[in-house]
Amino acid sequence: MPNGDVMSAYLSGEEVKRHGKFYFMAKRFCRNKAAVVALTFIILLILGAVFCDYLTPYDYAEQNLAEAKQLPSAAHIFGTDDFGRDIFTRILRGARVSLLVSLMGVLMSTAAALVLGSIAGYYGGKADNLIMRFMDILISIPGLLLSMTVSAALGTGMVKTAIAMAIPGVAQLTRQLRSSIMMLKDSEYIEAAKAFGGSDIHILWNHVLPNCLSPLIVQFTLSLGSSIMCISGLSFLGLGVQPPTPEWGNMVAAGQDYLRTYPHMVIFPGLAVMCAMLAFNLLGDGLRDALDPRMKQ
Amino acid sequence: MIKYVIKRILMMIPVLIGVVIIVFTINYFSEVSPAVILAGANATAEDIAAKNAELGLDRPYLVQIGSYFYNLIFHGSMGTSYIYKQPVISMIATRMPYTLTIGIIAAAFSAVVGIVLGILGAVKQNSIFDYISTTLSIICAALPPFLVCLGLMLVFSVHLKWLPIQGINGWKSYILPIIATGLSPIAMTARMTRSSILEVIRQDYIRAARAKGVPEGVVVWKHTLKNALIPILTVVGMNFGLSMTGSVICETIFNIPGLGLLMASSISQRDFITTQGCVLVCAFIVCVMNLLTDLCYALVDPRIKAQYKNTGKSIKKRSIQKGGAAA
Repeated sequence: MPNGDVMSAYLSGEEVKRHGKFYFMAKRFCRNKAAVVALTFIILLILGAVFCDYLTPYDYAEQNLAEAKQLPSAAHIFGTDDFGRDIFTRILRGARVSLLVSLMGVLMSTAAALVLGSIAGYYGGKADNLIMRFMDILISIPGLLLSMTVSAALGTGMVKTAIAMAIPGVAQLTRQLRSSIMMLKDSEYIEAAKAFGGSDIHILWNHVLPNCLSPLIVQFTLSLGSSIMCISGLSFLGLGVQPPTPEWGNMVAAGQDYLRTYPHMVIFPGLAVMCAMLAFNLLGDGLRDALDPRMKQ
Repeated sequence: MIKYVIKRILMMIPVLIGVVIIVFTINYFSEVSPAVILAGANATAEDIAAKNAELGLDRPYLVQIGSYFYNLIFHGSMGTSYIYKQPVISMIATRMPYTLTIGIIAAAFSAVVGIVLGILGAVKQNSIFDYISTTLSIICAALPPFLVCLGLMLVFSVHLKWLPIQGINGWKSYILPIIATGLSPIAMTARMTRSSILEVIRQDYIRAARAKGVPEGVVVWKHTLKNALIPILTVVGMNFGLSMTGSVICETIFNIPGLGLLMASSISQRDFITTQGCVLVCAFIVCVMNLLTDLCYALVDPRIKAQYKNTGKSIKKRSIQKGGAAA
């Protein structure tokens, strides 16, 4: 058993009361240095995305052919692209798109999974069978392919891309939620709540779901990272978010033609995707250890 | 055992039918009709309607999907590509070898390297080697596929000029795509192997084996690895399915005429019938890989084999995983 858990087991009830549950979670989380760095990076990225118009002196869309294809320098720390636009500004602006679209997508798939997973896990029977067979079908189509198909059918744009991202995500979240609910639904306290005459919705919302929250939060964080990667893949292939809206994937696609001579046009947006994915993965791992020490691998 | 295999194969059929229905429905409600693209930029409404009629896209939903299934089942045909005017099935058949070669070699290579790295990491836990390999595998798992492909191309083709940049031209052309496809599976396999072995190596029977003087190599390879293999097999099987996805980006960048490139181009040209065929083939491969993974469980673990024999029932992967980990 990890140290943190042993320690909190020895704490007196009063101590727990004084600090609250959240304090111990935060303490466990802070012990994981990588996760703290990841969280800091994500916060900086969000701030950069929100305030990108004020942070750099350049405009993300304004073309300046006199300064085209510059290598990184003091004035343009990540260099400029083929239209003379500052790559750093465009990466920050692209973060807005990536973060927003992946958040929308993951929120949509979580909402769908909450409904489907609750029905499947709590009620079982025919509904469970039907939902889970449908999820089997969804899961057998590789994620990016399904996103590509949906994205091609719906067309481009942020909301449509978010929907394309959300559909493959539903299956995994539903499966996970269903298995956590199934483990919980026969517990004594659920039985007690039923004996008190609580309605199904009440029991699900107040007793079952709060106890399934930790794995869900972890999966949510990890999904944010993987959907940023998937969005960039879609945009790279010319689906998803289209230029002139900067998105990391379409920046890489645009820079691809200049790979020989100006590789910085590919490397920096690519590294941005990598760092974002890495940060969300590390944050997810850190949250897993902090929220539920028993799940620690 | 054979009963179990037949049952699993039969269970694949509804899944594949579902895949066709889902992809067909998504394409049916597409914003841009293939006819609009085929008819060109200056087409009138009549031109588009004529194209639609020619492609059979003006028929009702049920008729279209019904005829797709009819042709698939009774004629083994997946329709004719809207753009290339060739049977989809033969287009897929000519492209499949490239994708499968890359996928299979990359899967085998990533399994071997990943398992070896994972074992070394677990055996020498908390050493500098463990630290480096864990860090590398975390980074590799976060690498976007296009960055890997372009990075490899930049280093080995553009600067060092060791390997060809694009296209398929002899065995050398396969090296970069295989590495690019295999990199993130290596990371995942190594991570899973490490944690799975660490779980097993703490067990009492490992201590017993060491106590009776079994050499460390035999302890690791025979006693530990065999018991830790179930979750590793799951990851290896999953990775092969993922390489199908990876092939879309990898083949687009390296310009390899495989299934991935066909899929990418058919999606962007709204050649929906080709897309549908490609997705169906991919889903089929994923299903077959899942079945093979489950059969490998039986090879590795006699308890699972007994379960398959006794009940013939499908056993959820999860419970097998847990059973394997608890062993």
